Amino acid sequence: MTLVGVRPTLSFEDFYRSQHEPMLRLAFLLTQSRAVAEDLVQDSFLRVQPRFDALDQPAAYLRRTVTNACYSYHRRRRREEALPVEAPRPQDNAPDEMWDALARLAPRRRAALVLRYYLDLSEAEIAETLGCRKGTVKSLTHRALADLRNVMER
Amino acid sequence: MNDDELVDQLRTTLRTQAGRITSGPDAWERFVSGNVTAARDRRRNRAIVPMAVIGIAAAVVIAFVALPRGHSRGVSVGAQPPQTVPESTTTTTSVPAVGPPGGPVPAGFEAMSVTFVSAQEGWVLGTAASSTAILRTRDGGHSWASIPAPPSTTLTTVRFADRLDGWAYGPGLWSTHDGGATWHTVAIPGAVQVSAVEASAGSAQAAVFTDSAQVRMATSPIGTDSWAVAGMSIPVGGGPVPRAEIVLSGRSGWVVEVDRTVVGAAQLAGGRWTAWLPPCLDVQGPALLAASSDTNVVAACDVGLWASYQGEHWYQRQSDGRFIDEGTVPVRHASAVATPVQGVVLVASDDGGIAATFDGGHTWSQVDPSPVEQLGFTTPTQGVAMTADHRLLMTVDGGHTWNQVTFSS
Repeated sequence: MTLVGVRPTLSFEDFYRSQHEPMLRLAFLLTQSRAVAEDLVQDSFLRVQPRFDALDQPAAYLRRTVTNACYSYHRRRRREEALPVEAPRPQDNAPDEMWDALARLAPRRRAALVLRYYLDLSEAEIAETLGCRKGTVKSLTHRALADLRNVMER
Repeated sequence: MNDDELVDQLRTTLRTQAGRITSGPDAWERFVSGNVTAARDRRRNRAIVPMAVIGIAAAVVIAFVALPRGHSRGVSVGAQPPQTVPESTTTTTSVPAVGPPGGPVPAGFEAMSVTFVSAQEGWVLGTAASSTAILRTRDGGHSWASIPAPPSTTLTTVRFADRLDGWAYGPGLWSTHDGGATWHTVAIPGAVQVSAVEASAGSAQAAVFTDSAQVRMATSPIGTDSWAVAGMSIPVGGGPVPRAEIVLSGRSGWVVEVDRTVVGAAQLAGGRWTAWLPPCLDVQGPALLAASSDTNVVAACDVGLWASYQGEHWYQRQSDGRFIDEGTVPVRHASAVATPVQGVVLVASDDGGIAATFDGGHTWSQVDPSPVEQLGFTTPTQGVAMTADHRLLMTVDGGHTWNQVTFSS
């Protein structure tokens, strides 16, 4: 029997094993660097671990932590919207115009697109993840798609 | 390409790229073995995820540097076309030289945090060429000079208590006691990350996160690095972006821990931090504090943000310590609040500009449309604000008008 409002018992190890790859992929899409993604996801799990037992929705919490970690990474690296970002592309990967275009978006706008079109989150969930209002999510997504189109059409 | 085609191509790219990334069969084993220590060390040393900064959207919050004379402020990032504060708003008064000689403003400097100890003397921490850089002004922001900065790339905030003693942090802590000529790492017992540092009345106060997910307050005389951790602690909430905001005024102080909603608080009185019942503990939204004296303390609370939204309200502390709801303010989701003097309150947001009342809340007006993230006052008339698009604004008339400042030598 599962009590309402109480999440089923889940060990941190189980949680880690189930969430590591999805979070690694999310971080990779947000940073476009495997090494950076590994680092940020590792740090995010370290952040979640001490409070894991107290979290009602640890997966959502972890997702926010990873997303914010990626944003902080970009913020520190000063890869803001005014500064073009060179997307690292593996040697064995065919050119991907869309991938390169994503790299040139402001981190927050890119995050809105990844959360919406990769994770298929609702506007409310994206707002919660990014810590903003639903209306902001709409404008972020709208502007991000416009930016994407502009970059693609150059 | 129409919108549907654009989105389809985007989805395909995201799935394809994500599919290239796999966890590896030994991910957990690596986590519990050496990598745990390595990652923790990285977090401590390089601050990949500064707890107080994570929440970009959740509003990068500002805490007042309450200086011996009253109050002051910090700010954020910006690389903007050169502009100057209009001549009409300025009286250039330089102060005698103390501290290291300054060099030219480095190319590409982007500001992240600002603090003033008087109307003339201030410092800005930022980055240039991927390194931390610090600028100093001695003439109220008209000219700036580069001074030495700590050799850390993760610092986000600078605070000075006077012309010699300052701190840079995020999440580690550095201090200077010679005006920024030299910087030293500072260890606060039990601290994993430094969330806020402010100084007033000869003491520096720090709010730190501990390994046990608590906020602890630490105190040091401003001229030394002798940090003593208070016995009391504040719990950290269950949200994603815990932050502790310190507000000091004279020998009084307050700290509020917010993690989506107000989680806990403490107050400083008689040199001791003790538990405190903060404003807006029950409004299901975050709170911001500001003070210009130990009797003029205000709060701005996003009432019902995580329940049924009722707008941004401001609160005035009464003589008995209670905070009274003074009604709504014409901005939503405030990012900062300031009160340079009793009866004057400014509330800023990152999409509503700066709204101000100069008559105790009877009337409000928008004094600047910029999307402001951080806001504060050094004196009753001089204040600074950092916008979401990384411009530094300054007022020299108590908040009635704001002008952009540039960083030129």
